[in-house]
Amino acid sequence: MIVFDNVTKIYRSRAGSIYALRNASFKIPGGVAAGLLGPNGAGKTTSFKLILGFIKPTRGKVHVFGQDPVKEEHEVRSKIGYLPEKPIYPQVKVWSLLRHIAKLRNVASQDVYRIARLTGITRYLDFNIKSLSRGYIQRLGLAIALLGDPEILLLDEPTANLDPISRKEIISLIRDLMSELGVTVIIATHILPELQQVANYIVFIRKGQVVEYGDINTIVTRYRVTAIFRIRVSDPRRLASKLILFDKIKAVEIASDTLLVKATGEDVDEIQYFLREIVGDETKLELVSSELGELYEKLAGLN
Amino acid sequence: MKSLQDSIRRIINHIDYIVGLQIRIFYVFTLIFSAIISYAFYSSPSMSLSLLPFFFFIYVALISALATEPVDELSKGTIQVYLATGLTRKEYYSAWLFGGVVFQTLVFLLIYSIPALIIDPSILVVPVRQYGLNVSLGQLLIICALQTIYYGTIGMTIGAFTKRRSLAVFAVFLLMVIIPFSIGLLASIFTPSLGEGIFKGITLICNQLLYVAISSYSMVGVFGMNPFLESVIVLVFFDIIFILLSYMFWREVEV
Amino acid sequence: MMLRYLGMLIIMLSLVGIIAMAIAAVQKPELTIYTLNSPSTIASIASNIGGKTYFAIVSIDFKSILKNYGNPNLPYVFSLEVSGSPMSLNTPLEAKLLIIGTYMPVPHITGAVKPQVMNRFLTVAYSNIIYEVNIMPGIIIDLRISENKLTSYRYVYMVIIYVVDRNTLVRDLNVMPSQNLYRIGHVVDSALNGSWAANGILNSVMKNIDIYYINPLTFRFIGYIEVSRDAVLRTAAVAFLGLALIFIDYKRDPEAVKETFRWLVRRRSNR
Repeated sequence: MIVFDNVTKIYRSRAGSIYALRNASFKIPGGVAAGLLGPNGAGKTTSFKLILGFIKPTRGKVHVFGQDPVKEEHEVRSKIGYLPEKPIYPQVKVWSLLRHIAKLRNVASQDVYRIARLTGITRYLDFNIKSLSRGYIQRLGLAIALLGDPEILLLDEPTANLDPISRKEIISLIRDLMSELGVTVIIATHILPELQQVANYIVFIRKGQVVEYGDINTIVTRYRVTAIFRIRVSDPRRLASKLILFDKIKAVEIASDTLLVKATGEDVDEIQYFLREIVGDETKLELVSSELGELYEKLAGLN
Repeated sequence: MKSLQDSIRRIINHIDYIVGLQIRIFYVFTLIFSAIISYAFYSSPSMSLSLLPFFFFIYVALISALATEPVDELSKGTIQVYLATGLTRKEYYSAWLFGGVVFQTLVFLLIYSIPALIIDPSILVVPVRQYGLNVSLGQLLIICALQTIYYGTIGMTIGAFTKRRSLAVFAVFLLMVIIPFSIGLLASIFTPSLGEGIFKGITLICNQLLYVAISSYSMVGVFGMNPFLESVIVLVFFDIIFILLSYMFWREVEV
Repeated sequence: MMLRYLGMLIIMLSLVGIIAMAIAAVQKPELTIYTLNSPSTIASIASNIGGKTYFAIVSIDFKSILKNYGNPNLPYVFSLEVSGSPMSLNTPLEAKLLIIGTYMPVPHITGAVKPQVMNRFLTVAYSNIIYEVNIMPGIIIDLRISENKLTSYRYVYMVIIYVVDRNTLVRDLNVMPSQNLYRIGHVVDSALNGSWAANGILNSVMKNIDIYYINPLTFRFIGYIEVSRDAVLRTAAVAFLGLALIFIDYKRDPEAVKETFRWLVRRRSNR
């Protein structure tokens, strides 16, 4: 769905040239929730801008839906929803902006209400954007990104400036969008525990170079990072007491009706098989994510 | 064909939005100026003509401020909000050209034309023959409108190149006021007869303002055609040049 | 589309036009300049041109005119630039009142103006072009003439030309109280019958008349605001145009139009 083929992006200014991306190549297939990881200034926002066709690669090619986002601006961008990292909106009413975006996207006004309900800004539709708190501006950005039911969602720090409850809501919203609508989500964030809840694919960029990309399970296995399984059961305590005996399981956490099982990356397949046997119902078992923090540290430390 | 229709629909929607954002200030100025003009048409026709350069200046200032708004959106990043929806750069540019410059120029034309239509449409076609001019008020308005587009597109072009709004507004001010004014002053200093005519208190400023408003008119007449036609051709030519220049930049601008 | 904004503006402007018309109509007495009651300095003539009666008054009593007119800036004054060269008036609207300053007296007889002078005045008024002004050695150059400037001239002639109906009473013009029983027609007739000058003027003026300018002249008087039926009709047409534009926009996007009008009537919230 998204292909970066040897992409180099150089920003030139009077102060000199800055390599935002250097021969970056990666692919993000459709239907995944990808985490775009990397330290500050790694080139995450530049990658988003390249996907959107906002900037042209200095060298190399970017393909989104098999098209060039710079040449086929409308075709590509009309299928993408984008939440910028630091969005600056015009000083108009929330409703006016959303309605205008809906018009540009050729979406009916009713959809604006639907999205507003979804993102929790219905009460603020009549407010001027300048009077919104940062949290609500973030929700507005999300609403704008969601208008027109895009196939890809690019979210640059989606949970920044949000209170813990809102963060949870947004994360569960992203999860719902993925499961119900099959939207491909690409998230650039530093808040790894949250990303961990949704991401099943990662692209790690450091100093403009792609260090690693691919399915999270594969990478977790490769780097021996702790994997986390979620099991929904009626009596998690009983199951926990059983699992704790298995020596390849590192830890077990009990939540109200779920159980989080942590295991080393290299044992993922074996443990998955083992858990499937125990739980019986495959729908109750889910490889949620891995300890991204651990993975992050490992990847960031690579030379 | 369908994609062209879609594109036009998006442009119109964005024009609608831009106009909706900015129209209030234009409404206020237009209503005040038009009231003055309506009254002047009844009571002092020559005043209505003398006010034209002043109104023209204010509108060019407003339109330049508006035409450089996309530069502001570009530097702040607001443009991303619109482009991310699927609006292309060309559509964004076209919308600003029509919504920010052409539409507001049309509004400027209404200041004189609506009162004239109500009071007496012949006001627009009868030759003015004032200040050495030999055109009708309608023709003068057309010249002013073409110049407004010219200044607006200059603002858009310079703003796009420099990505600095203040520089763009200054460039318009330089071209519109400072350069003609200084040329006028120098000319009046070095040409005693002209100086004598010009240096008469307030008439200096009036002459200068008027000179600028009709500068394109005064400058032509070299091709041996009807001066009005010549000035229209010259202005349209420069309008097209600057529209193309700003278009060339905007269609590839990195946001 | 943005047509609703244009439509709204046009409607608002037509309202402004109506208000301006009303103000101007109310102010009519203030602008009246018909009160020239210094017979010794007034010469008058009437003539019949192309079926229309023209009544002209020439006066050197400019101070009383200025006083009655009440505007020291004299916006109606037009300039005569260079002796002997073609010269024009600003607009036909201003063709009604001419002020010509000179250092030399223009020859005139009390009660009647020398035909050559009148001829030129009328020519100026009707065709907008003066072909000969060399009878006046002093020429006003300024764009506008201040009252001070006027006093520096030895003589200032003011010509007021009315276009009137033959049945209009001279009294209605309020120019010469002693003749208030006469209709303009009488004055014209007597002028045409009794004076070789009038015929000369008539012929000369007719030669110089540009038909184009006659019609607009018919309705306009200095400071006289005629809220004619035509003006009302035009206002209605303009307002209708505005409504039509809004309607076109409404057909395309009713919600946007409703929104715009809500925005207009509702106070801005600062929430």
